[in-house]
Amino acid sequence: MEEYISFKDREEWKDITPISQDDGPQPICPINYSTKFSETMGYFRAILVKQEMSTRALDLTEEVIDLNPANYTVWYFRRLLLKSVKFTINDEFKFCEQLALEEPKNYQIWYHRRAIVELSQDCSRELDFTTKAIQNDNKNYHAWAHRQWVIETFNLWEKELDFLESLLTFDIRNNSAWNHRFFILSRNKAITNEIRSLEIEYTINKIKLCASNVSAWNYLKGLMNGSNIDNYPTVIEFCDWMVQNHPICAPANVFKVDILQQKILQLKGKGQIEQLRELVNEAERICNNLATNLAVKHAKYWYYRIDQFQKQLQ
Amino acid sequence: MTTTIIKKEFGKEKHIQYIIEKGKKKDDFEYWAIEQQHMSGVYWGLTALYLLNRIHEVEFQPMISYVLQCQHPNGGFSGNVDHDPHILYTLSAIQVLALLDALDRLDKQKIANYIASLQQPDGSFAGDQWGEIDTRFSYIAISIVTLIGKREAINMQKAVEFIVGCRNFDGSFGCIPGAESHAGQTFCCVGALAIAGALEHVDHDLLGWWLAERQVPCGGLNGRPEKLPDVCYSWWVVSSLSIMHRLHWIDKQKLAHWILECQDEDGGIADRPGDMPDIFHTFFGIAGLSLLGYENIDSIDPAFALPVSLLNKLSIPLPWANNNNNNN
Repeated sequence: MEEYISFKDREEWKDITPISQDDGPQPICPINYSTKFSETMGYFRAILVKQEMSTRALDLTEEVIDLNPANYTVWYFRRLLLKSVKFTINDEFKFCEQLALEEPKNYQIWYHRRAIVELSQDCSRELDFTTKAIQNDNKNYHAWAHRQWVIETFNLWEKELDFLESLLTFDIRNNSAWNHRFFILSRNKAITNEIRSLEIEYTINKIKLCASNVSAWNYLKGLMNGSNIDNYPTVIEFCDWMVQNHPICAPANVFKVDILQQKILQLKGKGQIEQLRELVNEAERICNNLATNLAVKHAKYWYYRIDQFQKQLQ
Repeated sequence: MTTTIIKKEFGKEKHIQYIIEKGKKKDDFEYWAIEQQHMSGVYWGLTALYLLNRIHEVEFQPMISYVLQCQHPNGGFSGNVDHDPHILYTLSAIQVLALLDALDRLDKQKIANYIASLQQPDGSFAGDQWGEIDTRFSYIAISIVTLIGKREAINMQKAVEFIVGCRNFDGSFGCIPGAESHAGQTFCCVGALAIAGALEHVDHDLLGWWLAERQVPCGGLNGRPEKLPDVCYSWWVVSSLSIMHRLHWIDKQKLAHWILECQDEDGGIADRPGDMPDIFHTFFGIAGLSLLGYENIDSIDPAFALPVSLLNKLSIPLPWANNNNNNN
C-alpha cells in the first residue's frame, strides 16, 4: 500500500484551499474524523464547490471512495466526471469490481456498476463478475439483482440454468438460487406445461435429497401456481409419499394442506358433501398435527387454517 | 425439551444514555463511516427517544436548523451538509421535523414537486437524479406525500401498480420485479400499499405465513429463508404482520426475549446477541419491542414508523390500526 502523502505536501494541489466540515449544532449523532479523512474531505469539498472537471478530481474521488465507499455524493460527482474527463472504461470496471468484492453490501457501488454498464453498453464482464460476488456470498441480494438486470437487459438467458445447477449442488438450500431459477423460467417466456413438468421432476429430486429444504418446497408451490393440481398426479403422489414416509417433515405436511385446500375449493358447491367433509377432516387433522407437534411456534396460524377449513362446510 | 429462560430486563436508561452519550463522543472511529446518512441516524435516535418518552433530552431548535440546512433548492434533503439530495434523507428529514414539531417550517409544495420529479412512467420511483429504482423509494414517496398532505402530487395508481409488479408467487415482495422476496422490501411494499389504501393487493394469509416462517428456533427473525436472524427484522417482519393483523402468527414472547438478548450491557442493541451495538439496531430493537406491546415503550405505527401519538396529533389517519390489534 502506498504511503499516504498529506494533501498540503502535494505539489499538484497547491492551488486549492480545503473547506472544512460544518457539522451543525451538537447533534444527537455527530461524527468523528481522523486527520486523513478530514483532509481528503476538505479537498473534495473544495473541488465540489468549484465543480472542477479534471483528472485530478477523478483521482480525488477515488481517494474519497477508498475512505468511505458509502458516501453517495462522491459517487454522483464521479459519474459527472466520467462524462467529461478522459478515462479507461476497463479501469473503471476493475475499480468497481474490486470495491464490490470488498464491500458487497454497499448500495452505491452496485448502482455505479450498473451505471457504467449502461454508459458503455458493455455487459461482457457482468456474468463473470456477479459469479465472483455470488461465490463469495451465495445470497448477496445486490449481486443477484444486478445479475437479473443484466440478463434481462442484454438477453443473456442461455447458460443460466447450468450456472444455477452448480450453485444448487453446492448449497441446495440457497433461496436466492431458487428464486433466480424461477426468474429465469418465468420472465424469459411463459412457463409451458412441458417446462412445468420438467421442473417438477427436477424439484422433486432435489427435495428427495433434502426434505426440509423450504426453498425447494416453495419453488414447487410457485410452479403449481395458477394450475389445476389434478393435472399433476406426480406432485400429489410425491407429497402423499413424503407425508407417509417422513411424517415429521413439516414442509411436506404444509404442502399437503395446500393440495387439500385446492381440492376442497374445487368441490365446493358441487353437492358432494361427504367427499367434501372427508377432505376437510383430513386437512384439519394435518393442521392439528402441525399446531401441536411439527410447527408449534406457528400454532395460531394452523388453528386459523382449521377455522378457514371449517367455514367450507357451512 | 425445557430450557431455563433467564428473564432479561430492558435496559431503558442505559439505551437512552447510549443514544445521547454516544452522540457526544467525537473520538469514535466508526462514526465517520456513516456521515453521509447522518439524517437517518438522527431519525433513528430521536424516534427511539420519543418512544422512551425522553425526546426532550435533545435541544430542538439547533436540530431543526441543522435539518433545514440540508435542504436543497429542488426540495430534496441530503444525508448531511455538503451532500446531494436523495429521497432516503428527504423522508428522514421530514420525520425528524415531525418529531420536533416543526413540519410548519417546510415548503411542502417544493418537496411534493421533488418527489413527483422522481416518479417514472412505470410508476416506480428513483432515489435521486441518477435513477436507481427500488421499492424502498416507492414506500418513501408515498409516505412523504401523505405526511405533508400532498398525495395528489404523485400518480398513486401507477405507484401501486409498480409495487404489485414486485410481488412474487409466495406473496412477498422484492426490490424490483423478479427480485427475491425479502422482508425489508416487504415492509416497504406492505407499508406503501397500506398508506396508499391498496392493501387488497396483499394476500394477507399467504404473506402472513411467509412472514411467520421468518421466525427461527431461537425466537429471532430472518429476512429470507435459510438466513440468520437479525434484530432489524423485528421491525420489517413485525410491522408487516401488524398491518395485516397477523402478529399473533409468530411467538411474540420468544421474539421479545431474543431482542432483549441482543442488548449490550453498556447500552444499545446489536444485530444479534454478543455483537457490537449500533444506532440502527438500537432503534429497530426498540421499535420491535414497541410493536410487541412491551411495557413502558410508547406505541409506534407500523406503516409510518413514527409514534402513534405523534401521527394522531398530525391527524394522519391510520386505518390499519385497531384497538385489539394482534392480541392473544
